[in-house]
Amino acid sequence: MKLAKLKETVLLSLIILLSLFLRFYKLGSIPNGLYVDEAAIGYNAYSFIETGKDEYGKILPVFLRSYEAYAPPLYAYISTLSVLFFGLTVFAVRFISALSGVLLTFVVFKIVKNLDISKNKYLPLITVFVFATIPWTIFFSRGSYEANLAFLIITIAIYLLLLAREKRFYLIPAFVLLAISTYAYQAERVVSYLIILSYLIIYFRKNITHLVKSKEFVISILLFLIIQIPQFTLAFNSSFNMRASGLFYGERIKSQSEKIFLPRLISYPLSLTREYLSNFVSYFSPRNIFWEGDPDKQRSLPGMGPMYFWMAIPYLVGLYMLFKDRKNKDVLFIFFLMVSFVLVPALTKDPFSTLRSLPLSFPLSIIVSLGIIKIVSVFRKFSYPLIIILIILSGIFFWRSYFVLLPYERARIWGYGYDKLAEEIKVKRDMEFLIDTARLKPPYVELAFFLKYPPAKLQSVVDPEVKDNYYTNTKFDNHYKFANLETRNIEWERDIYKEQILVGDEFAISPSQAKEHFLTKVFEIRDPVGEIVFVGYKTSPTLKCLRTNFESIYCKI
Amino acid sequence: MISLLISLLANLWIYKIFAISFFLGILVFLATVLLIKNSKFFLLLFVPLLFFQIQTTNRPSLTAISNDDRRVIDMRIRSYPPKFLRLGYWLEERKESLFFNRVATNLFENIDPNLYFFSNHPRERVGIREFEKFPYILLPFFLLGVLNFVSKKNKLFWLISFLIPLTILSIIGNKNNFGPFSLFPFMAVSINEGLKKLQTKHLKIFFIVLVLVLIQIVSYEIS
Repeated sequence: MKLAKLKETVLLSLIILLSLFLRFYKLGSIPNGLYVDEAAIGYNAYSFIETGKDEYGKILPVFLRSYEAYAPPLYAYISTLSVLFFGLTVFAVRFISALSGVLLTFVVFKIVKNLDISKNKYLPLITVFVFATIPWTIFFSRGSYEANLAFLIITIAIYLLLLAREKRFYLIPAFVLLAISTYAYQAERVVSYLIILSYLIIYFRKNITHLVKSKEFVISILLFLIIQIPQFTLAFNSSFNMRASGLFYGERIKSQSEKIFLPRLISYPLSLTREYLSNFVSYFSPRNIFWEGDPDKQRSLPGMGPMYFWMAIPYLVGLYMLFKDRKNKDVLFIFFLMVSFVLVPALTKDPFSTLRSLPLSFPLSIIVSLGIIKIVSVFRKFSYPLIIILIILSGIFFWRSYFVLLPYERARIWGYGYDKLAEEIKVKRDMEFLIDTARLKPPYVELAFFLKYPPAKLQSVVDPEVKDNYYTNTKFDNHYKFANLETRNIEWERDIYKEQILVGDEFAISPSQAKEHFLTKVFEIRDPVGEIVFVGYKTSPTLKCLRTNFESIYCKI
Repeated sequence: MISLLISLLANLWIYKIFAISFFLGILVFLATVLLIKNSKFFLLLFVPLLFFQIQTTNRPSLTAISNDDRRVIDMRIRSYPPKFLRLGYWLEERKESLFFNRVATNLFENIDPNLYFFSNHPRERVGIREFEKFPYILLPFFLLGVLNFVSKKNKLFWLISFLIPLTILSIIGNKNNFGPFSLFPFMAVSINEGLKKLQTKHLKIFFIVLVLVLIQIVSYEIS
């Protein structure tokens, strides 16, 4: 018995070490660049450390305004620790997510250990191995994604809920964590309620009145609601559903319903049902899970799905195993969790969003593991060498996709080049820079991050109207002026008559424009593929005015 | 009998096949009926069905490299560290690897439930005209039918009706105006099996919803 326990501990430790390696190896340099959302989190954490306020000068915001995202703030709050410790670096910003990923592997093990869904004693270890090594969980652990932190919190809550079946006291920390998760990721505002509902329906359906009367339950519910009061106070505010409303496919439903030869009263719900169900089903389609992955290039890996292709077979077998054992409460709980994790993402117009459905990777890992166990038990002789080959192949495919192709062909999508641009701005400190924002995601926060621009100074340039109406004035203006730079669209009739460096992507300034306005190329920054990310042209106002006989009014100023 | 009629006739796919080729429509229809009856004569009709699937499909090469493929391959090979260039060549350019990728793409496209119940929405494919096949209300019955069949002992023909067309479709691809119609018997029979579980007390509601959904998908298809 003791030997078996020792063996389990050793194997679990090895898997956690592997998980640690997969999540922290070259964390600061792969993904290659710093995505704008990551920069916003990092800079706001820096701002909290330096001033106790966010980039707009708001103390303890309930939502982080950053441009118009109104993102849940927990990740930025916790990142203050890593930024304090490692400084304002890419590694520091991603640290909390990577750490969450490692802790998740352990929590997943503890949960599966507490579930009675298979007689096989290796199920927890196999599940945790699958979970720790699938591209889905590694990918989202290696970027500063709030969703990964939220995933860790709700997973711990689920574990505590399972313990609470025996000891009711555990309900209290579980409900507290579920409430906290709503500050970590937007979807959790609904998912946390669905988890509670699923849990009560499955485990306490018959003695719900008894449970409801218990003091632990009352305290749990009270704490759950109290923790959410700051959010409730903003529930009717535009900031509360700013992100969600922009993601719903309302327009699509409207246009589809107009095609149906039925009265609107019937056609609209029909259209909504089909749209919703098609999205919902797509989250369980082997095509999406095991092959094509997320169509969003910033949230996917080149040439591979969120789980390894061969896992499609154990997935189908595992689903069947789950169906066969459907009267088991733990199996039902897994099933309910699976549905809960997809109900919200299926409401958004992005098909198969692996970010919003990230917690789905947990029940899917259990299903795949159940399938693997079943297949191994049937084909005992062939399965062991086959599994070893598949693990090696998976390792090669993952290495190819994540460590070779991603930093090369997706660098631009990940905001590659801002560190180099910040370096140019720092070196040419006597020059003014104008960054064209026409096709760029808010560059001000990336540059503030890499320039380590003092947050107090940035707060001072924010429009006071925005500052005073933090949650209600949701309009974002990309125009920023700080340090020796300005971010806005280039105004050709004016900007060429001022001594400065115009910066844009490869389409911002054409060679003919450069020739016409006597612009001199002073630098260009290329991504690893060799395409121009940023190009800087120095203006020559004197020459331009001389050659155009001082036609422009700006020559006379 | 009702379940048989619904699974066979309450879908747009069979009418599309009939509209384009009456003969093929008859073949698909009869093969499905024989599969439902678990008759060995099913195989007699299934073989020509597979033949037509191969003949009517535009089969792109599984190893040929187009100009765009060449651009992507070259770009990707450049991303490998020099000491792994040989491995890079194996993974990106070898015919075996191209073959594997294309076959897997075809395979996964053919086992996507959205292809059969939502006209491949929300992930429509580029260069392929997606069309409505089965009404989505039949999806739960299809799943129930599949799970039921898996538990059955006598399922050889059902397995054949799935695995052989799937293998062929994975190799020949999906560029076919009728869709992967060699899988129609499998789909219809699985739906039929699931529909048997439908309780008579729910029949009225089911019919109303089915008719509404059929009107919906016909409207989508026409527009």
